[in-house]
Amino acid sequence: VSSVAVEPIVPDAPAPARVERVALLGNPNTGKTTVFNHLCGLRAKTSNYPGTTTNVRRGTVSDKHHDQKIEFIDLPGLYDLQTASPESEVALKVLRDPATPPDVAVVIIDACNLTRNLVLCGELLALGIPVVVALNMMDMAASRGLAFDTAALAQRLRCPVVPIVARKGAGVDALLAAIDQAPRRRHAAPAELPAAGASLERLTAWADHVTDAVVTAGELGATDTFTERLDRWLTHPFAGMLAFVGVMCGLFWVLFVLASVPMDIIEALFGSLAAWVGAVVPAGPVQDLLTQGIIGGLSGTVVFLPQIALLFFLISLLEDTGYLARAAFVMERLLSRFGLPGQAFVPLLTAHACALPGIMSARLIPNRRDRLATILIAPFMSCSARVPVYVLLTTLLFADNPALAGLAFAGCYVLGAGAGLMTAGLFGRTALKGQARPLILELPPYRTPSFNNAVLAAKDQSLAFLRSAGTVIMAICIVMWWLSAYPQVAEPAAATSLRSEAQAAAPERAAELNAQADLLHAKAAQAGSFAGQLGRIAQPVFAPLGFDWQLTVGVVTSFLAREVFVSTMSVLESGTGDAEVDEGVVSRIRAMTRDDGALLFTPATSAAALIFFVLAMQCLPTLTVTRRETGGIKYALMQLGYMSLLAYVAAATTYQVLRLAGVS
Amino acid sequence: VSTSAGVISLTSLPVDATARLRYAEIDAEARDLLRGLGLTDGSLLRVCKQGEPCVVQVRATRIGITSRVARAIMVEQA
Repeated sequence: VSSVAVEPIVPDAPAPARVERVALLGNPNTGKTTVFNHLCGLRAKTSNYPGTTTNVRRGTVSDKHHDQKIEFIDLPGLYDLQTASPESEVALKVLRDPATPPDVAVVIIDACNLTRNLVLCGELLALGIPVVVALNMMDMAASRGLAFDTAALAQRLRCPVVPIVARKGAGVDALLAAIDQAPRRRHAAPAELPAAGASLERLTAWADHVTDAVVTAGELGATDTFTERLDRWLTHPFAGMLAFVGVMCGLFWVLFVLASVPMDIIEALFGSLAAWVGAVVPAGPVQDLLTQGIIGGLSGTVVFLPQIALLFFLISLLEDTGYLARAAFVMERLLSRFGLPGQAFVPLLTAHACALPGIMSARLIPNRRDRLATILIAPFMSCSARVPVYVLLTTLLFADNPALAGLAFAGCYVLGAGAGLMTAGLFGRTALKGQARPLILELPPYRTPSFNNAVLAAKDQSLAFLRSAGTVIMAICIVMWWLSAYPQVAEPAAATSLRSEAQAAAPERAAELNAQADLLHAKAAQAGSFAGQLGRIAQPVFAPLGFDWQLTVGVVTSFLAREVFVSTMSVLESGTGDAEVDEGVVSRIRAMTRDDGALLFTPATSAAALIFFVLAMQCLPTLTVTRRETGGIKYALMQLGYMSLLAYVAAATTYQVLRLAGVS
Repeated sequence: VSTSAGVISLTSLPVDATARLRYAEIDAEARDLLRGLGLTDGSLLRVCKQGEPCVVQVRATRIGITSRVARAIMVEQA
């Protein structure tokens, strides 16, 4: 039986002089986060509870009466303390913390759903911890004709009850005052309340009894005709799917259109910063480290910040409306066939923009097995960083047929998504045995979303991303830059000779000759770097894919981020390092030759490289986020292993089959 | 689906019918979640929608249940 024993907390804990620490608890969709945001706002900090991947938010509020701060701990939404869920586990750990236990537990209750919310409240009262009840959504209750005798409720619960409307901030000051005056010492639980550890059935019977006594007008379980009608459409197999496609198209349109402006600004700012550092710091290894290693690496990661912030802002708005729960049921029909839960659609769609926010948004999925399955396959979705690589390779593959190139480009997206779904199905039979949890979700009433909650959700996720970018990802960037830039090689004789020639030439001709010398030097530097040497050493491994040492260097250097492939190939060909795929770059790369003089990008090689980049895990930041979100290195290594293996086998098969068919 | 006298599958009920939960042949995790949502043993429910998903209302809580789980929830019409 997946339930946990709920024992009373320390029987006679010493009474604190003042309230210093308050735990906020409540069922999901009760406005708990709104209360917390109203109290703590931007001062709040989000972190995983030690040893778990469950978020706990902490913030402080000034206590005007005692000239001190009160710490608020916003615990994850939960229905009860008995179910063996990560949320219950973390809540019990915080409540039982021997070093810093909360002095008061504030239970946020949805007044429109009093009975079910009272079950958790009853469990807390039975534990012996001082409780203050915040009876939220009183405006909504009034609009439904509900009225309560809050004094009678307080009497029955033997704790303060404060009616509030958290969305408008109404009653929050009274709540703070009630917290301040909350009993310091545990007191006897309500007489009729079942003892700690009682079954949910007994607790529900008690909650029913209390509800009957305190609701003075209206009916709690009255039919919500509006919600009922809308649900019939939004969960309908056809109309629901149409609505889903419409909502998602809108979401991604807003995401791409609005995020592109700040993304351009971030790139420009980092570009200016690099130019400024280049002007201030003398040329040499320190300047290279700062401009290319640190600023270049950070720029490539931080550029995704607007997409992440905007995505979480929009997801929070959608979640607040109540629509996401309906959309999960619409998508479950498709995704459950591959062992994925209905809620996986947000991470998988998001991963088409960037795997990082995609993986981060998998937190929406409550079950760990389902969350892991989604995180592990998210990088298969073709992200925006793959676009320049797809453009280059499909153009090389179908140089004279733009229609076929376009088809191949679209095919890459299908292949990536298909490989992801198939892999999820395979994991369901192997590493993550079992099917996705069958969907059982509360369908909350449709509500107007909270703008403030959405802003704070975006802030939380953005800070989490920046922490990652500023530590692990930056360290990786520096290492990869160092591998690509060192050891520095002397200028080749041919380049030196061109420069000597330039000294005697007319200015225009001299510039041309110096440019040629620069190209030769850059090419030699790339080939002589550790990454270049690694490419040569690793080349035999990639020989079955048709890759020569240059293509292998492209694969090795793009291990940090796959879009680097285009600039690496461009450097190897000419030394220019163009990252944009224009006609000039394509025609130059098309003309690249192997050491024996044969063309490098034959149809077979191009096809193999394309397949490789669709399926391979060429993105170290993704691995670091996977490690963080799964709580360990194991799943990040697994992701790297199976994606690399699949990419290698599929690309080698493609090359060999095409070669045997005479297409080489 | 009909089993012992009067006990039928949740999916057999028409929309707007009310019934009491008798038992559910589902795994413990799903059962715990339903109980947490208020669908405890013997509780009264109203069918809001049949199909995929099946939607029921228990007191003031609307619960969406995927049909493969709903089929295994046995109720007695009230």
